[in-house]
Amino acid sequence: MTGPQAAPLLEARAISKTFVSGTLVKRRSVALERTSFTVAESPPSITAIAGESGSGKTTLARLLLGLIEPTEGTILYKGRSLANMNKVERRLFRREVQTIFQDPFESYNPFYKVDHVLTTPLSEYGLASNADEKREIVVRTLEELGLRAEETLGRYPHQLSGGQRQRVMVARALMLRPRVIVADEPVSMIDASLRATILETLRLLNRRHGISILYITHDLTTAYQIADNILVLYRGRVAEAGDIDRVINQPEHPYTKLLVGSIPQPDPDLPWGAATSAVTASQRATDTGCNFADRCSVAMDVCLESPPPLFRTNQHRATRCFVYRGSPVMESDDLSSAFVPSGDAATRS
Amino acid sequence: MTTRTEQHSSPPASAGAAVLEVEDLRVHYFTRRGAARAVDGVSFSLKPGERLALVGESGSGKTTTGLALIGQIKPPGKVVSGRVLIEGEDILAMSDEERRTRLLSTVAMVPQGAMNSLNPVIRVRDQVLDGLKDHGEKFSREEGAARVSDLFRQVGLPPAAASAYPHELSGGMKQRVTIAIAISMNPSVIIADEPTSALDVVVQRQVVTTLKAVQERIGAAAILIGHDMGLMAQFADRVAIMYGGRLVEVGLVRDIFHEPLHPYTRLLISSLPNTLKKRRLEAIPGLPPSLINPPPGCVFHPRCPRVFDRCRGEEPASLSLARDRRVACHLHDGTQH
Repeated sequence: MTGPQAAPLLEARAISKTFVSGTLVKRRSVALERTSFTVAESPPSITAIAGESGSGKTTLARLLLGLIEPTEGTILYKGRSLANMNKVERRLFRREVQTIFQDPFESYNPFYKVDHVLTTPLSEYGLASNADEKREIVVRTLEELGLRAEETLGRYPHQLSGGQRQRVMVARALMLRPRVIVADEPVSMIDASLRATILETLRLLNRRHGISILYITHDLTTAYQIADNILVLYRGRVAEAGDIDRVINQPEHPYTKLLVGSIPQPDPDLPWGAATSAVTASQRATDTGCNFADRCSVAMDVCLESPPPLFRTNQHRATRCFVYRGSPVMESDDLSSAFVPSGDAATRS
Repeated sequence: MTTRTEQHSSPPASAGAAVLEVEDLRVHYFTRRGAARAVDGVSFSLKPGERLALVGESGSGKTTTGLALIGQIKPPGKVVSGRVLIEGEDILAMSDEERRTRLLSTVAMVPQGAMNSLNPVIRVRDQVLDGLKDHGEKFSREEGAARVSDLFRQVGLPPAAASAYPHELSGGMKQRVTIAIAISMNPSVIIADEPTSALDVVVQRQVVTTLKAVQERIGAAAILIGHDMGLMAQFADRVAIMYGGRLVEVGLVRDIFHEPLHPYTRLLISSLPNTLKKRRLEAIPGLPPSLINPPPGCVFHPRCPRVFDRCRGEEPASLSLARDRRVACHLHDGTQH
């Protein structure tokens, strides 16, 4: 728990998700393993959930949105379990926890004008009493996000650019006055020149509207620019978590080191380091040990025997690696106990 | 600012024997609403062994340029003008049959998204050998197997991967297969169109590093097409920036990153997120231009922070400022400021 004054808004308590496939021979794959963290009521935060494909980041996003149910564990919103919500509570959850998806095109019905996607939720949740008020809210929100209403409304989705479509989706989410937005790779399909606009828009939602953002991404550079804290996922387990400045600038987990070292820096004088990764055949992943052991250049015997717990290597960091076994084991499951309060760092201006 | 030299009439003559020369290439797509000028007067050249990054956003014409270099513009697209000389021969003037013989042996393409470019029902070994057989190469079963395992070794694939079907390989491995196919006939130019766009960052580094290593080993020139400036900084000797179907700036990689001249290049670089410094990202206002009704004058002028009257009426010529440096911008032609 992050303290008595900060009641959790959204809370994941030891959630796991196992997918079962196959008709005759069942194959189980663990997409997410016992993960706990909270999004506090205040101050509003931006948390990055980073990982490669297959890391479980999208599964975590879908779980938090209530789109799929956890195999184990509980997700709570304002103290109520998503599994036991009544109709009224669920409706509130659906309005207050919004999402922005990767491909803005797929979120649209191509036969409806853009107006439809903006006005429908207003009617749905009774946020406007008449057509004039509806239009006023839509126009005000679009303009706040740097879209001109006359260039946006009355058009079909294909007539807008990718960046415009994505901002319309942000506008739609914002109109519903949400408390949390889960943004799943919101800029990965957007051109470089428009990416900055979307990221600044997310920052605006956080700072001006007090909305907490869970930023799901494979891209550490954009995460670094906007998030306060980060969870790095590897094959369904949190490898490292905490203050994003520390995690990116001085990564501890060998996997985080590999990820950070693979970022192509936009500077020809900062070449990629020598590959620290060399997929070695020397170690084999075991079901019992650390799931990164087969790729790890510093794996020890202990890494093959049992999975490492999260070590509290610092007040604002937790690392799941036996290299840090000199540090205390995390006392609580809740990763957010290692987070820095958002807006704390003076560097983030 | 940089030295302002007089305008040269031709592209850098310092290139020596260029392996690839593109002269005033124009490719238009003829649609019901009019002709979209996807590539509109692009000229550049490539020295043997040189690595060029062709950078642009979607709709900038970079992929169309890449397709034109291998003579693969299909209707409604049409090469309206220009020449593409590879080792002195105009690939656009050839018959389809002649061009076919040049593909792979002179110029090879590493396609975007290897996932879709390999045939799912044919073992990857046979897909590599098909390219060789197409060029009339004859070899026994054993020789073929040896060729494949040699190519696979060069791109870092285990020999056992040869008998796999594409779905049995990871994305990174599949992309390595396409690189193996591309280098199988020792081409003098390799064109790679966003070869890593669907790959994770760790695999991306491995694939690009592999591409660079084999390109150096066979001495081919390479063009990497994409929008990821970080990747380009790691790969290229020279960078060409496309916008609205034109080349707005060309320069050595260090010059482009450390001293961008065109306002678009400058904004593109300052809008890049990185993990070196936390800062407010500068967004480029406005939207990419319409290719059917491009703005008059400079195609970037509606979004340019340094626009002045001349930009609205007169299209800037491509100015050679120094060796290997060209920019199409009125700010740099020395007559007006």
